[in-house]
Amino acid sequence: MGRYPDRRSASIPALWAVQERYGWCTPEGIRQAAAVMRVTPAYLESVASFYDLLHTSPVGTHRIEVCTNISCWMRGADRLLEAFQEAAGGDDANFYVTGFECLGACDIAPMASIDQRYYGPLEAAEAGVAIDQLRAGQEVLPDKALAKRGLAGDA
Amino acid sequence: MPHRLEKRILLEHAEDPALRTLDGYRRLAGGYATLERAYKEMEQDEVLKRLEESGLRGRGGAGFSMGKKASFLPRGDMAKYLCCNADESEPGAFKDRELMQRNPHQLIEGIALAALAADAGHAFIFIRGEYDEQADILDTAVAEAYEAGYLGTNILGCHRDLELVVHRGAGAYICGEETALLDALEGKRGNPRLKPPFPAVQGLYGGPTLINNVETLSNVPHIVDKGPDWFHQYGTEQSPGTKVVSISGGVRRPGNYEVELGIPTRELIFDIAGGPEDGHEIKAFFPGGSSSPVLTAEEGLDLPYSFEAMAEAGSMLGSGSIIVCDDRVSIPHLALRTARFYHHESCGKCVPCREGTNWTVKMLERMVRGEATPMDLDIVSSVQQNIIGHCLCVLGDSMAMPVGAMVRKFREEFEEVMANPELVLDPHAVVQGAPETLGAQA
Repeated sequence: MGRYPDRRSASIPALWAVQERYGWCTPEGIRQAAAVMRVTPAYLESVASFYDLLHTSPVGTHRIEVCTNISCWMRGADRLLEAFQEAAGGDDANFYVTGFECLGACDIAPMASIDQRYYGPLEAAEAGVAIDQLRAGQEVLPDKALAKRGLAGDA
Repeated sequence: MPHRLEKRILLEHAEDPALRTLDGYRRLAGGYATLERAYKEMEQDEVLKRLEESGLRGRGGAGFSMGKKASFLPRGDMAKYLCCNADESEPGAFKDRELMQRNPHQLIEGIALAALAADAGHAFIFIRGEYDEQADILDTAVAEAYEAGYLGTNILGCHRDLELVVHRGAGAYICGEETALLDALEGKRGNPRLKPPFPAVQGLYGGPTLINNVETLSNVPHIVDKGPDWFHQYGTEQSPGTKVVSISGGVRRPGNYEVELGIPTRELIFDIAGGPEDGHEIKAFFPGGSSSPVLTAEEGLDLPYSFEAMAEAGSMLGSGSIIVCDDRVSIPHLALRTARFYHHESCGKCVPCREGTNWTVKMLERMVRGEATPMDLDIVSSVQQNIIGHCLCVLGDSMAMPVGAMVRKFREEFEEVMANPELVLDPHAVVQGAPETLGAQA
Protein backbone atom coordinates (compact mmCIF):
# COMPACT_ATOMS: atom_id res chain seq x y z
CA MET A 1 0.00 0.00 0.00
CA GLY A 2 2.90 2.29 0.74
CA ARG A 3 3.87 2.27 -2.92
CA TYR A 4 0.74 4.17 -3.90
CA PRO A 5 -0.36 7.74 -3.16
CA ASP A 6 -3.79 6.29 -2.31
CA ARG A 7 -4.12 3.00 -0.44
CA ARG A 8 -7.10 1.91 -2.53
CA SER A 9 -4.75 1.48 -5.47
CA ALA A 10 -3.50 -1.63 -3.72
CA SER A 11 -6.79 -3.45 -4.20
CA ILE A 12 -5.75 -5.50 -7.25
CA PRO A 13 -2.35 -6.41 -5.79
CA ALA A 14 -4.09 -7.32 -2.51
CA LEU A 15 -6.51 -9.59 -4.34
CA TRP A 16 -3.61 -11.22 -6.19
CA ALA A 17 -2.06 -11.90 -2.79
CA VAL A 18 -5.31 -13.41 -1.49
CA GLN A 19 -5.53 -15.62 -4.55
CA GLU A 20 -1.95 -16.76 -4.14
CA ARG A 21 -2.56 -17.65 -0.49
CA TYR A 22 -5.91 -19.41 -0.84
CA GLY A 23 -5.99 -20.49 -4.50
CA TRP A 24 -8.93 -18.19 -5.17
CA CYS A 25 -10.44 -15.03 -3.69
CA THR A 26 -12.19 -16.63 -0.74
CA PRO A 27 -14.65 -14.60 1.36
CA GLU A 28 -12.34 -15.00 4.35
CA GLY A 29 -9.31 -13.85 2.35
CA ILE A 30 -11.22 -10.86 1.05
CA ARG A 31 -12.30 -9.97 4.61
CA GLN A 32 -8.69 -10.08 5.78
CA ALA A 33 -7.44 -7.96 2.88
CA ALA A 34 -10.27 -5.48 3.38
CA ALA A 35 -9.44 -5.14 7.07
CA VAL A 36 -5.80 -4.36 6.28
CA MET A 37 -6.74 -1.90 3.55
CA ARG A 38 -9.53 -0.31 5.60
CA VAL A 39 -12.13 -0.77 2.88
CA THR A 40 -15.30 -2.87 2.99
CA PRO A 41 -15.20 -6.52 1.89
CA ALA A 42 -18.02 -5.73 -0.55
CA TYR A 43 -15.82 -3.15 -2.22
CA LEU A 44 -13.03 -5.65 -2.80
CA GLU A 45 -15.52 -8.26 -3.95
CA SER A 46 -16.87 -5.86 -6.57
CA VAL A 47 -13.34 -5.35 -7.84
CA ALA A 48 -12.56 -9.08 -7.85
CA SER A 49 -15.68 -9.94 -9.80
CA PHE A 50 -14.78 -7.48 -12.57
CA TYR A 51 -11.51 -9.09 -13.59
CA ASP A 52 -11.13 -12.36 -15.50
CA LEU A 53 -7.97 -13.48 -13.72
CA LEU A 54 -9.38 -13.07 -10.22
CA HIS A 55 -11.57 -16.00 -9.24
CA THR A 56 -14.48 -15.64 -6.84
CA SER A 57 -15.16 -19.38 -6.77
CA PRO A 58 -12.75 -22.31 -6.29
CA VAL A 59 -10.46 -23.17 -9.20
CA GLY A 60 -7.86 -25.89 -9.70
CA THR A 61 -4.24 -25.69 -8.60
CA HIS A 62 -3.08 -25.52 -12.21
CA ARG A 63 -4.67 -22.89 -14.41
CA ILE A 64 -4.69 -23.37 -18.16
CA GLU A 65 -6.02 -20.59 -20.33
CA VAL A 66 -6.29 -21.44 -24.03
CA CYS A 67 -6.50 -18.42 -26.30
CA THR A 68 -9.50 -18.74 -28.63
CA ASN A 69 -9.33 -15.35 -30.29
CA ILE A 70 -8.97 -14.71 -34.03
CA SER A 71 -5.35 -15.62 -34.78
CA CYS A 72 -5.34 -18.68 -32.55
CA TRP A 73 -8.80 -19.74 -33.76
CA MET A 74 -7.50 -19.73 -37.33
CA ARG A 75 -4.77 -22.12 -36.31
CA GLY A 76 -6.90 -24.58 -34.40
CA ALA A 77 -7.49 -23.13 -30.93
CA ASP A 78 -10.92 -24.73 -30.52
CA ARG A 79 -9.47 -28.20 -30.97
CA LEU A 80 -6.62 -27.37 -28.62
CA LEU A 81 -9.07 -26.27 -25.94
CA GLU A 82 -11.06 -29.47 -26.35
CA ALA A 83 -7.87 -31.49 -26.10
CA PHE A 84 -6.90 -29.77 -22.84
CA GLN A 85 -10.38 -30.31 -21.42
CA GLU A 86 -10.28 -33.99 -22.31
CA ALA A 87 -6.76 -34.48 -20.98
CA ALA A 88 -7.60 -32.77 -17.70
CA GLY A 89 -10.42 -35.25 -17.29
CA GLY A 90 -13.27 -32.84 -16.84
CA ASP A 91 -13.76 -33.31 -13.11
CA ASP A 92 -10.14 -33.31 -11.98
CA ALA A 93 -10.14 -30.61 -9.32
CA ASN A 94 -6.43 -29.99 -9.85
CA PHE A 95 -6.97 -28.41 -13.23
CA TYR A 96 -8.83 -25.34 -14.28
CA VAL A 97 -9.08 -25.24 -18.07
CA THR A 98 -10.78 -22.37 -19.84
CA GLY A 99 -10.96 -20.66 -23.20
CA PHE A 100 -9.62 -17.13 -22.96
CA GLU A 101 -9.63 -13.94 -25.00
CA CYS A 102 -6.47 -12.81 -26.82
CA LEU A 103 -3.47 -13.38 -24.59
CA GLY A 104 -1.14 -11.31 -26.76
CA ALA A 105 0.90 -14.09 -28.29
CA CYS A 106 -0.54 -14.49 -31.79
CA ASP A 107 2.98 -15.20 -33.08
CA ILE A 108 2.89 -18.59 -31.38
CA ALA A 109 -0.73 -19.43 -32.24
CA PRO A 110 -2.38 -21.61 -31.14
CA MET A 111 -1.14 -21.07 -27.63
CA ALA A 112 -2.02 -21.47 -24.00
CA SER A 113 -1.03 -19.89 -20.73
CA ILE A 114 -0.22 -22.59 -18.20
CA ASP A 115 0.22 -21.34 -14.65
CA GLN A 116 0.90 -17.83 -15.97
CA ARG A 117 3.58 -18.89 -18.47
CA TYR A 118 3.09 -18.91 -22.25
CA TYR A 119 3.53 -21.95 -24.53
CA GLY A 120 3.07 -22.31 -28.27
CA PRO A 121 2.57 -23.12 -31.07
CA LEU A 122 0.83 -26.19 -29.68
CA GLU A 123 -0.49 -29.30 -31.38
CA ALA A 124 -3.65 -30.77 -29.89
CA ALA A 125 -1.66 -33.87 -28.89
CA GLU A 126 0.63 -31.75 -26.72
CA ALA A 127 -2.24 -30.92 -24.37
CA GLY A 128 -2.08 -34.43 -22.92
CA VAL A 129 1.70 -34.22 -22.63
CA ALA A 130 1.46 -30.95 -20.72
CA ILE A 131 -1.19 -32.30 -18.34
CA ASP A 132 0.91 -35.42 -17.65
CA GLN A 133 3.95 -33.25 -16.97
CA LEU A 134 1.96 -31.11 -14.56
CA ARG A 135 0.68 -34.22 -12.78
CA ALA A 136 4.23 -35.55 -12.48
CA GLY A 137 5.59 -32.22 -11.29
CA GLN A 138 7.92 -31.92 -14.29
CA GLU A 139 8.86 -28.94 -16.40
CA VAL A 140 6.06 -28.25 -18.87
CA LEU A 141 6.74 -28.42 -22.63
CA PRO A 142 10.27 -27.02 -22.39
CA ASP A 143 10.59 -26.68 -26.17
CA LYS A 144 7.44 -24.62 -26.47
CA ALA A 145 8.07 -22.00 -23.78
CA LEU A 146 7.79 -18.45 -25.07
CA ALA A 147 10.69 -17.33 -22.90
CA LYS A 148 13.07 -19.54 -24.89
CA ARG A 149 12.15 -18.24 -28.31
CA GLY A 150 14.29 -15.99 -30.44
CA LEU A 151 13.16 -12.91 -32.30
CA ALA A 152 11.08 -13.42 -35.42
CA GLY A 153 13.22 -13.20 -38.52
CA ASP A 154 16.46 -14.16 -36.78
CA ALA A 155 17.14 -17.55 -38.27
CA MET B 1 20.07 -11.44 -38.93
CA PRO B 2 17.05 -9.20 -39.33
CA HIS B 3 15.24 -9.26 -42.66
CA ARG B 4 16.75 -6.82 -45.17
CA LEU B 5 13.53 -4.80 -45.14
CA GLU B 6 13.54 -4.42 -41.37
CA LYS B 7 14.95 -1.34 -39.65
CA ARG B 8 15.66 -2.11 -36.05
CA ILE B 9 15.95 0.78 -33.64
CA LEU B 10 13.80 -0.28 -30.70
CA LEU B 11 14.65 -3.93 -31.26
CA GLU B 12 18.34 -3.38 -31.93
CA HIS B 13 20.41 -5.96 -30.00
CA ALA B 14 17.13 -7.52 -28.86
CA GLU B 15 18.34 -10.96 -29.93
CA ASP B 16 20.89 -10.79 -27.11
CA PRO B 17 19.39 -11.89 -23.77
CA ALA B 18 22.00 -9.74 -21.98
CA LEU B 19 20.14 -6.63 -23.12
CA ARG B 20 17.63 -7.33 -20.40
CA THR B 21 20.12 -6.53 -17.66
CA LEU B 22 21.33 -3.09 -16.69
CA ASP B 23 24.94 -3.95 -17.57
CA GLY B 24 23.91 -5.37 -20.92
CA TYR B 25 21.77 -2.35 -21.73
CA ARG B 26 24.68 -0.02 -20.94
CA ARG B 27 27.21 -2.08 -22.83
CA LEU B 28 25.19 -2.96 -25.93
CA ALA B 29 23.01 0.10 -26.34
CA GLY B 30 24.85 2.82 -24.43
CA GLY B 31 21.90 2.78 -22.06
CA TYR B 32 21.07 5.58 -19.62
CA ALA B 33 23.64 7.95 -21.17
CA THR B 34 20.75 10.00 -22.56
CA LEU B 35 19.06 10.06 -19.18
CA GLU B 36 22.24 11.33 -17.53
CA ARG B 37 22.69 14.00 -20.16
CA ALA B 38 19.05 15.09 -20.00
CA TYR B 39 18.87 15.22 -16.21
CA LYS B 40 22.15 17.06 -15.90
CA GLU B 41 22.11 19.38 -18.89
CA MET B 42 18.59 19.79 -20.23
CA GLU B 43 15.59 21.74 -19.05
CA GLN B 44 12.06 20.35 -19.13
CA ASP B 45 11.26 22.54 -22.15
CA GLU B 46 14.18 21.25 -24.16
CA VAL B 47 13.11 17.62 -23.74
CA LEU B 48 9.50 18.51 -24.49
CA LYS B 49 10.53 20.45 -27.58
CA ARG B 50 12.44 17.50 -28.98
CA LEU B 51 9.47 15.22 -28.49
CA GLU B 52 7.06 17.69 -30.06
CA GLU B 53 9.27 18.37 -33.07
CA SER B 54 9.90 14.68 -33.63
CA GLY B 55 6.24 14.21 -34.53
CA LEU B 56 6.23 10.87 -32.69
CA ARG B 57 2.70 9.52 -32.84
CA GLY B 58 1.23 7.33 -30.12
CA ARG B 59 1.77 3.65 -30.84
CA GLY B 60 -1.14 2.40 -28.74
CA GLY B 61 -3.86 2.90 -31.32
CA ALA B 62 -5.00 6.50 -31.54
CA GLY B 63 -1.84 7.82 -33.19
CA PHE B 64 -1.97 11.17 -31.41
CA SER B 65 1.20 13.27 -31.21
CA MET B 66 3.06 12.25 -28.07
CA GLY B 67 4.84 15.58 -27.57
CA LYS B 68 1.63 17.51 -27.93
CA LYS B 69 -0.07 15.28 -25.38
CA ALA B 70 2.76 15.93 -22.93
CA SER B 71 2.54 19.67 -23.54
CA PHE B 72 -1.15 19.67 -22.49
CA LEU B 73 -0.18 19.03 -18.89
CA PRO B 74 -0.47 22.22 -16.85
CA ARG B 75 2.60 23.65 -15.12
CA GLY B 76 2.70 24.12 -11.38
CA ASP B 77 3.46 22.45 -8.07
CA MET B 78 0.58 19.96 -8.06
CA ALA B 79 1.38 16.25 -8.11
CA LYS B 80 1.61 15.01 -11.69
CA TYR B 81 1.65 11.44 -12.89
CA LEU B 82 2.86 9.38 -15.77
CA CYS B 83 1.26 6.06 -16.71
CA CYS B 84 2.76 3.65 -19.13
CA ASN B 85 -0.01 1.68 -20.77
CA ALA B 86 1.24 -1.89 -20.97
CA ASP B 87 -2.22 -3.44 -20.97
CA GLU B 88 -1.76 -4.67 -24.54
CA SER B 89 -4.95 -6.67 -25.05
CA GLU B 90 -6.00 -5.87 -28.59
CA PRO B 91 -6.44 -9.12 -30.49
CA GLY B 92 -3.51 -9.34 -32.90
CA ALA B 93 -1.17 -7.12 -30.88
CA PHE B 94 1.88 -8.56 -29.14
CA LYS B 95 4.61 -5.98 -29.76
CA ASP B 96 4.72 -4.47 -26.26
CA ARG B 97 5.22 -7.94 -24.83
CA GLU B 98 8.34 -8.32 -26.98
CA LEU B 99 9.66 -4.85 -26.11
CA MET B 100 9.24 -5.40 -22.36
CA GLN B 101 10.59 -8.90 -22.43
CA ARG B 102 13.70 -8.09 -24.41
CA ASN B 103 14.47 -4.47 -23.59
CA PRO B 104 12.90 -3.39 -20.29
CA HIS B 105 15.51 -0.74 -19.54
CA GLN B 106 14.80 1.11 -22.77
CA LEU B 107 11.23 1.52 -21.52
CA ILE B 108 12.36 2.62 -18.05
CA GLU B 109 14.73 5.20 -19.53
CA GLY B 110 11.90 6.42 -21.78
CA ILE B 111 9.61 6.76 -18.79
CA ALA B 112 12.21 8.71 -16.83
CA LEU B 113 12.71 11.08 -19.77
CA ALA B 114 8.99 11.50 -20.41
CA ALA B 115 8.52 12.18 -16.69
CA LEU B 116 11.10 14.95 -17.04
CA ALA B 117 9.18 16.41 -19.99
CA ALA B 118 5.89 16.26 -18.11
CA ASP B 119 7.42 17.16 -14.72
CA ALA B 120 5.84 14.03 -13.24
CA GLY B 121 7.12 12.72 -9.92
CA HIS B 122 5.29 9.42 -9.85
CA ALA B 123 5.11 6.90 -12.67
CA PHE B 124 3.32 3.59 -13.10
CA ILE B 125 3.61 0.79 -15.60
CA PHE B 126 0.15 -0.76 -15.87
CA ILE B 127 0.82 -4.21 -17.29
CA ARG B 128 -1.89 -6.75 -18.05
CA GLY B 129 -2.06 -9.56 -15.51
CA GLU B 130 -1.56 -12.21 -18.17
CA TYR B 131 1.95 -10.86 -18.87
CA ASP B 132 3.25 -12.25 -15.59
CA GLU B 133 6.57 -13.25 -17.08
CA GLN B 134 7.16 -9.78 -18.52
CA ALA B 135 6.07 -8.12 -15.27
CA ASP B 136 8.69 -10.18 -13.41
CA ILE B 137 11.31 -8.98 -15.90
CA LEU B 138 10.20 -5.37 -15.37
CA ASP B 139 10.29 -5.78 -11.58
CA THR B 140 13.90 -6.91 -11.80
CA ALA B 141 14.85 -4.11 -14.18
CA VAL B 142 13.14 -1.44 -12.07
CA ALA B 143 14.99 -2.70 -8.99
CA GLU B 144 18.28 -2.46 -10.91
CA ALA B 145 17.47 1.08 -12.02
CA TYR B 146 16.70 2.15 -8.43
CA GLU B 147 19.94 0.58 -7.30
CA ALA B 148 21.90 2.48 -9.93
CA GLY B 149 20.27 5.76 -8.96
CA TYR B 150 18.26 6.31 -12.15
CA LEU B 151 15.03 6.18 -10.17
CA GLY B 152 14.17 7.27 -6.65
CA THR B 153 14.99 10.49 -4.82
CA ASN B 154 17.55 13.02 -5.95
CA ILE B 155 18.29 11.17 -9.20
CA LEU B 156 21.98 11.52 -10.21
CA GLY B 157 22.26 14.36 -7.70
CA CYS B 158 19.97 16.58 -9.78
CA HIS B 159 17.33 17.23 -7.11
CA ARG B 160 14.66 15.44 -9.08
CA ASP B 161 12.60 12.53 -7.80
CA LEU B 162 10.79 9.79 -9.66
CA GLU B 163 9.02 6.80 -8.18
CA LEU B 164 8.19 4.00 -10.61
CA VAL B 165 5.76 1.20 -9.72
CA VAL B 166 4.99 -1.86 -11.84
CA HIS B 167 1.26 -2.48 -11.39
CA ARG B 168 -0.25 -5.74 -12.61
CA GLY B 169 -3.78 -5.73 -13.93
CA ALA B 170 -6.04 -8.73 -13.60
CA GLY B 171 -7.50 -9.45 -17.00
CA ALA B 172 -9.78 -6.87 -18.62
CA TYR B 173 -9.37 -5.52 -22.15
CA ILE B 174 -11.14 -2.31 -21.18
CA CYS B 175 -8.23 -1.32 -18.92
CA GLY B 176 -6.25 -0.49 -22.03
CA GLU B 177 -8.63 2.43 -22.49
CA GLU B 178 -6.80 5.25 -20.79
CA THR B 179 -9.48 6.42 -18.36
CA ALA B 180 -10.48 2.86 -17.45
CA LEU B 181 -6.78 2.25 -16.83
CA LEU B 182 -6.80 5.14 -14.35
CA ASP B 183 -9.80 3.68 -12.53
CA ALA B 184 -8.14 0.28 -12.38
CA LEU B 185 -4.97 1.88 -11.07
CA GLU B 186 -6.98 3.66 -8.41
CA GLY B 187 -8.19 0.24 -7.30
CA LYS B 188 -11.66 0.27 -8.80
CA ARG B 189 -13.48 -1.70 -11.45
CA GLY B 190 -12.04 -0.60 -14.77
CA ASN B 191 -14.80 1.59 -16.14
CA PRO B 192 -14.06 4.42 -18.56
CA ARG B 193 -14.69 8.01 -17.50
CA LEU B 194 -16.46 10.83 -19.24
CA LYS B 195 -14.09 13.04 -21.25
CA PRO B 196 -13.45 15.94 -20.91
CA PRO B 197 -11.78 16.51 -18.56
CA PHE B 198 -8.96 14.71 -20.29
CA PRO B 199 -6.36 12.88 -18.19
CA ALA B 200 -3.77 15.53 -19.06
CA VAL B 201 -5.80 17.94 -16.92
CA GLN B 202 -7.48 15.64 -14.44
CA GLY B 203 -6.32 12.05 -14.42
CA LEU B 204 -4.92 9.73 -11.81
CA TYR B 205 -6.03 10.77 -8.28
CA GLY B 206 -7.41 13.90 -9.93
CA GLY B 207 -3.94 15.13 -10.92
CA PRO B 208 -2.60 15.90 -14.40
CA THR B 209 -1.54 12.62 -15.98
CA LEU B 210 0.36 11.68 -19.11
CA ILE B 211 -0.54 8.24 -20.47
CA ASN B 212 1.57 6.63 -23.17
CA ASN B 213 1.97 3.22 -24.70
CA VAL B 214 5.06 1.04 -24.16
CA GLU B 215 6.31 1.42 -27.72
CA THR B 216 5.78 5.20 -27.68
CA LEU B 217 7.85 5.55 -24.51
CA SER B 218 10.50 3.17 -25.85
CA ASN B 219 11.05 5.64 -28.70
CA VAL B 220 11.72 8.51 -26.29
CA PRO B 221 15.38 7.82 -25.38
CA HIS B 222 16.31 7.64 -29.06
CA ILE B 223 14.58 10.90 -29.90
CA VAL B 224 15.95 12.82 -26.93
CA ASP B 225 19.41 11.48 -27.73
CA LYS B 226 19.60 11.95 -31.47
CA GLY B 227 17.04 14.69 -32.04
CA PRO B 228 13.92 15.23 -34.14
CA ASP B 229 15.76 15.55 -37.47
CA TRP B 230 17.30 12.14 -37.05
CA PHE B 231 13.87 10.69 -36.27
CA HIS B 232 12.32 12.28 -39.35
CA GLN B 233 14.69 10.51 -41.71
CA TYR B 234 12.66 7.35 -41.05
CA GLY B 235 9.08 6.81 -42.07
CA THR B 236 6.81 9.29 -43.82
CA GLU B 237 6.22 12.96 -43.16
CA GLN B 238 3.05 12.35 -41.18
CA SER B 239 4.17 9.03 -39.72
CA PRO B 240 7.81 9.45 -38.79
CA GLY B 241 9.93 6.71 -37.28
CA THR B 242 9.82 2.96 -37.20
CA LYS B 243 7.04 0.68 -36.02
CA VAL B 244 7.14 -2.71 -34.46
CA VAL B 245 4.47 -4.54 -36.42
CA SER B 246 2.86 -7.71 -35.08
CA ILE B 247 1.88 -9.99 -37.95
CA SER B 248 -0.20 -13.09 -37.31
CA GLY B 249 -2.87 -15.35 -38.76
CA GLY B 250 -2.47 -16.91 -42.18
CA VAL B 251 1.18 -16.14 -42.86
CA ARG B 252 4.19 -18.40 -42.84
CA ARG B 253 6.35 -16.41 -40.44
CA PRO B 254 4.16 -14.68 -37.85
CA GLY B 255 6.02 -12.42 -35.44
CA ASN B 256 7.13 -8.91 -34.53
CA TYR B 257 9.04 -7.01 -37.18
CA GLU B 258 10.34 -3.46 -36.86
CA VAL B 259 10.04 -1.50 -40.11
CA GLU B 260 9.98 2.10 -41.25
CA LEU B 261 6.44 3.43 -41.39
CA GLY B 262 5.25 3.77 -44.98
CA ILE B 263 6.69 0.46 -46.15
CA PRO B 264 4.43 -1.18 -48.76
CA THR B 265 1.98 -3.45 -46.96
CA ARG B 266 2.65 -6.16 -49.53
CA GLU B 267 6.34 -6.26 -48.58
CA LEU B 268 5.42 -6.58 -44.92
CA ILE B 269 3.03 -9.46 -45.43
CA PHE B 270 4.76 -11.28 -48.29
CA ASP B 271 8.49 -10.59 -48.08
CA ILE B 272 8.91 -10.25 -44.35
CA ALA B 273 6.18 -12.51 -42.95
CA GLY B 274 6.40 -15.03 -45.78
CA GLY B 275 2.91 -14.55 -47.23
CA PRO B 276 0.16 -17.16 -47.16
CA GLU B 277 0.83 -20.87 -47.34
CA ASP B 278 1.26 -22.55 -50.72
CA GLY B 279 -1.92 -22.85 -52.69
CA HIS B 280 -3.72 -20.17 -50.73
CA GLU B 281 -4.47 -16.53 -51.24
CA ILE B 282 -5.07 -13.65 -48.92
CA LYS B 283 -8.72 -12.81 -48.69
CA ALA B 284 -8.66 -9.91 -46.25
CA PHE B 285 -6.64 -8.54 -43.38
CA PHE B 286 -6.97 -6.37 -40.31
CA PRO B 287 -4.33 -3.64 -40.67
CA GLY B 288 -4.34 -2.53 -37.04
CA GLY B 289 -5.68 -5.16 -34.71
CA SER B 290 -9.17 -6.58 -34.49
CA SER B 291 -10.67 -3.11 -33.93
CA SER B 292 -9.66 -1.87 -37.36
CA PRO B 293 -12.06 -2.31 -40.27
CA VAL B 294 -10.90 -5.22 -42.44
CA LEU B 295 -9.43 -4.44 -45.83
CA THR B 296 -9.79 -6.83 -48.74
CA ALA B 297 -6.57 -7.93 -50.42
CA GLU B 298 -7.31 -5.70 -53.43
CA GLU B 299 -7.97 -2.67 -51.26
CA GLY B 300 -5.10 -2.97 -48.87
CA LEU B 301 -2.05 -4.82 -50.11
CA ASP B 302 -0.71 -2.01 -52.26
CA LEU B 303 -1.10 0.73 -49.68
CA PRO B 304 1.86 2.09 -47.77
CA TYR B 305 1.75 1.01 -44.15
CA SER B 306 1.30 4.40 -42.48
CA PHE B 307 -1.24 6.13 -40.25
CA GLU B 308 -2.44 8.38 -43.06
CA ALA B 309 -2.74 5.76 -45.81
CA MET B 310 -4.75 3.40 -43.62
CA ALA B 311 -7.05 6.21 -42.48
CA GLU B 312 -7.60 7.26 -46.09
CA ALA B 313 -8.59 3.69 -46.98
CA GLY B 314 -11.27 3.83 -44.27
CA SER B 315 -9.38 1.75 -41.76
CA MET B 316 -6.64 2.50 -39.27
CA LEU B 317 -3.10 1.62 -38.37
CA GLY B 318 -4.15 1.30 -34.73
CA SER B 319 -1.59 -0.55 -32.68
CA GLY B 320 0.14 -1.80 -35.83
CA SER B 321 -1.04 -5.38 -35.73
CA ILE B 322 -1.79 -7.17 -38.96
CA ILE B 323 -4.03 -10.24 -38.84
CA VAL B 324 -4.08 -12.03 -42.17
CA CYS B 325 -7.07 -14.13 -43.24
CA ASP B 326 -6.49 -16.47 -46.14
CA ASP B 327 -9.14 -17.98 -48.42
CA ARG B 328 -10.04 -20.68 -45.91
CA VAL B 329 -11.41 -18.23 -43.37
CA SER B 330 -15.18 -17.92 -43.18
CA ILE B 331 -15.90 -14.20 -42.82
CA PRO B 332 -19.24 -14.64 -41.00
CA HIS B 333 -17.51 -16.82 -38.43
CA LEU B 334 -14.70 -14.31 -38.21
CA ALA B 335 -17.27 -11.59 -37.54
CA LEU B 336 -18.83 -13.72 -34.82
CA ARG B 337 -15.48 -14.42 -33.19
CA THR B 338 -14.64 -10.71 -33.27
CA ALA B 339 -18.03 -9.68 -31.86
CA ARG B 340 -17.86 -12.25 -29.07
CA PHE B 341 -14.63 -10.76 -27.87
CA TYR B 342 -16.06 -7.26 -27.53
CA HIS B 343 -19.24 -8.64 -25.99
CA HIS B 344 -17.17 -10.40 -23.38
CA GLU B 345 -14.97 -7.36 -22.70
CA SER B 346 -17.65 -4.66 -22.67
CA CYS B 347 -17.62 -3.20 -19.16
CA GLY B 348 -21.36 -2.64 -19.27
CA LYS B 349 -21.32 1.04 -18.39
CA CYS B 350 -22.86 2.44 -21.61
CA VAL B 351 -26.04 0.97 -23.06
CA PRO B 352 -25.19 1.07 -26.81
CA CYS B 353 -22.03 -0.98 -26.23
CA ARG B 354 -23.44 -3.35 -23.61
CA GLU B 355 -26.61 -4.12 -25.57
CA GLY B 356 -25.20 -3.63 -29.05
CA THR B 357 -22.40 -6.15 -28.63
CA ASN B 358 -24.87 -8.61 -27.12
CA TRP B 359 -27.38 -8.30 -29.96
CA THR B 360 -24.70 -8.42 -32.61
CA VAL B 361 -23.42 -11.72 -31.24
CA LYS B 362 -26.94 -13.16 -31.09
CA MET B 363 -27.71 -12.14 -34.65
CA LEU B 364 -24.43 -13.44 -36.03
CA GLU B 365 -25.02 -16.74 -34.25
CA ARG B 366 -28.42 -16.94 -35.90
CA MET B 367 -26.83 -16.28 -39.27
CA VAL B 368 -24.23 -19.02 -39.06
CA ARG B 369 -26.94 -21.44 -37.86
CA GLY B 370 -29.01 -20.60 -40.91
CA GLU B 371 -31.87 -19.17 -38.86
CA ALA B 372 -31.62 -15.59 -40.03
CA THR B 373 -33.53 -13.69 -42.70
CA PRO B 374 -31.88 -11.40 -45.28
CA MET B 375 -33.29 -8.44 -43.38
CA ASP B 376 -31.06 -9.32 -40.44
CA LEU B 377 -27.99 -8.20 -42.36
CA ASP B 378 -29.37 -4.69 -42.54
CA ILE B 379 -30.33 -4.79 -38.89
CA VAL B 380 -26.81 -5.84 -37.92
CA SER B 381 -25.45 -2.95 -39.96
CA SER B 382 -27.81 -0.48 -38.34
CA VAL B 383 -26.90 -1.74 -34.86
CA GLN B 384 -23.25 -1.00 -35.67
CA GLN B 385 -24.15 2.52 -36.80
CA ASN B 386 -26.02 3.10 -33.54
CA ILE B 387 -23.01 2.18 -31.45
CA ILE B 388 -20.37 4.30 -33.14
CA GLY B 389 -19.76 7.55 -31.30
CA HIS B 390 -22.46 6.94 -28.70
CA CYS B 391 -20.42 5.67 -25.78
CA LEU B 392 -17.88 7.03 -23.30
CA CYS B 393 -15.07 5.04 -24.86
CA VAL B 394 -14.42 3.36 -28.19
CA LEU B 395 -14.82 -0.29 -27.16
CA GLY B 396 -18.23 -0.51 -28.82
CA ASP B 397 -16.91 1.27 -31.89
CA SER B 398 -14.09 -1.24 -31.98
CA MET B 399 -16.60 -3.98 -32.62
CA ALA B 400 -18.92 -1.91 -34.79
CA MET B 401 -16.22 -0.81 -37.26
CA PRO B 402 -14.77 -4.22 -38.20
CA VAL B 403 -18.09 -6.07 -38.07
CA GLY B 404 -19.76 -3.32 -40.11
CA ALA B 405 -16.94 -3.50 -42.65
CA MET B 406 -17.18 -7.28 -42.91
CA VAL B 407 -20.93 -7.18 -43.57
CA ARG B 408 -20.47 -4.43 -46.14
CA LYS B 409 -17.53 -5.95 -47.99
CA PHE B 410 -18.50 -9.62 -47.82
CA ARG B 411 -22.27 -9.37 -47.99
CA GLU B 412 -22.52 -12.15 -50.57
CA GLU B 413 -20.65 -14.55 -48.35
CA PHE B 414 -22.98 -13.75 -45.45
CA GLU B 415 -26.00 -14.37 -47.66
CA GLU B 416 -24.55 -17.63 -48.86
CA VAL B 417 -23.87 -18.83 -45.32
CA MET B 418 -27.33 -17.79 -44.18
CA ALA B 419 -28.92 -19.77 -46.99
CA ASN B 420 -26.67 -22.83 -46.72
CA PRO B 421 -25.19 -23.11 -43.22
CA GLU B 422 -24.06 -26.67 -43.97
CA LEU B 423 -21.90 -25.49 -46.86
CA VAL B 424 -19.91 -23.09 -44.76
CA LEU B 425 -16.15 -23.29 -44.76
CA ASP B 426 -14.93 -25.29 -41.81
CA PRO B 427 -15.25 -22.73 -39.05
CA HIS B 428 -12.54 -24.38 -36.99
CA ALA B 429 -8.85 -24.64 -37.52
CA VAL B 430 -8.69 -23.07 -40.90
CA VAL B 431 -4.98 -22.56 -41.17
CA GLN B 432 -3.36 -25.92 -40.69
CA GLY B 433 0.13 -26.85 -39.75
CA ALA B 434 2.60 -25.14 -37.50
CA PRO B 435 4.18 -21.92 -38.71
CA GLU B 436 7.78 -22.00 -39.80
CA THR B 437 10.26 -21.67 -37.01
CA LEU B 438 10.39 -18.12 -35.72
CA GLY B 439 13.99 -18.15 -34.78
CA ALA B 440 16.68 -19.98 -32.93
CA GLN B 441 16.56 -20.59 -29.23
CA ALA B 442 17.61 -17.45 -27.46
